[in-house]
Amino acid sequence: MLNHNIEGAIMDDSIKILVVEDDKSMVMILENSLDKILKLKTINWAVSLEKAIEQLIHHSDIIQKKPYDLIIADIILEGQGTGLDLYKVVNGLYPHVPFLIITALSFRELSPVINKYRKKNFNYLQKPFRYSTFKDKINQILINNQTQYADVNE
Amino acid sequence: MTYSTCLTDISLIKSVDECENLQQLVILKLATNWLEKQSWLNTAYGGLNPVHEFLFETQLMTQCFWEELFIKDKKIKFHYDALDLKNKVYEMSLIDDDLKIYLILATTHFK
Repeated sequence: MLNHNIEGAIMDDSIKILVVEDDKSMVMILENSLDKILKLKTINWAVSLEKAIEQLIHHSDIIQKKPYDLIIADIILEGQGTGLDLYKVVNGLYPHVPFLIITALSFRELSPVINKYRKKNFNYLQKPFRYSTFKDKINQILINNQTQYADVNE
Repeated sequence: MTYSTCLTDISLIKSVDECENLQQLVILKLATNWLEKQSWLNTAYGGLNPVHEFLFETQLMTQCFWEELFIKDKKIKFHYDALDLKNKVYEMSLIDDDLKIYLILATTHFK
């Protein structure tokens, strides 16, 4: 169950997040921001598509319907493969896991992708972003997903 | 160069089939992880349980696919193809009812 404390930070000890980012400065920003937004959470980190899928396999089993409550990924990653590749794989396996793509590409540049996946738990945030924008996005995604997931399981 | 050309160049998944192959690889890895933890696997079966051999073959095959995808050493050539992945998923579903349910549900969302 998601609850909000008086500062607006989501309190939930079961929130599991996978963050896929290869830029060290961005990793620090995301880590600090997520620390402020989510008081209790588990974050797994990866720098490439390969490492992200390894994390997904390591933290999943055949009984779990949802290995993560949220996946955040940059488009350009270390090695071969992109954040969009990860989205395609995850969405086919775990359609209820919300996905947030963070990228320097503009909305216009990414609009074909956004339009294609808009209704499939695909979310987008353009870099650079303010903390408040990131926080609103995370809150909105987690709350929307909780509602959707509850509907699916009813 | 447009962003879409650039993304296509660096993308690992260039078709729906490639995406499905990678998804099948993930579910096979999850299924083998589950299978190797089952206590009944070590139960005597008039000799070594035949599922042991199947498990070993599947682990080897998934590892070969993984290396081909991510290591990209052109000197390495494996004799498996995408159909082998599909066949292994099917064979895996015949081993155990829990696995069968998982594999049916996991492949339902493809495409």
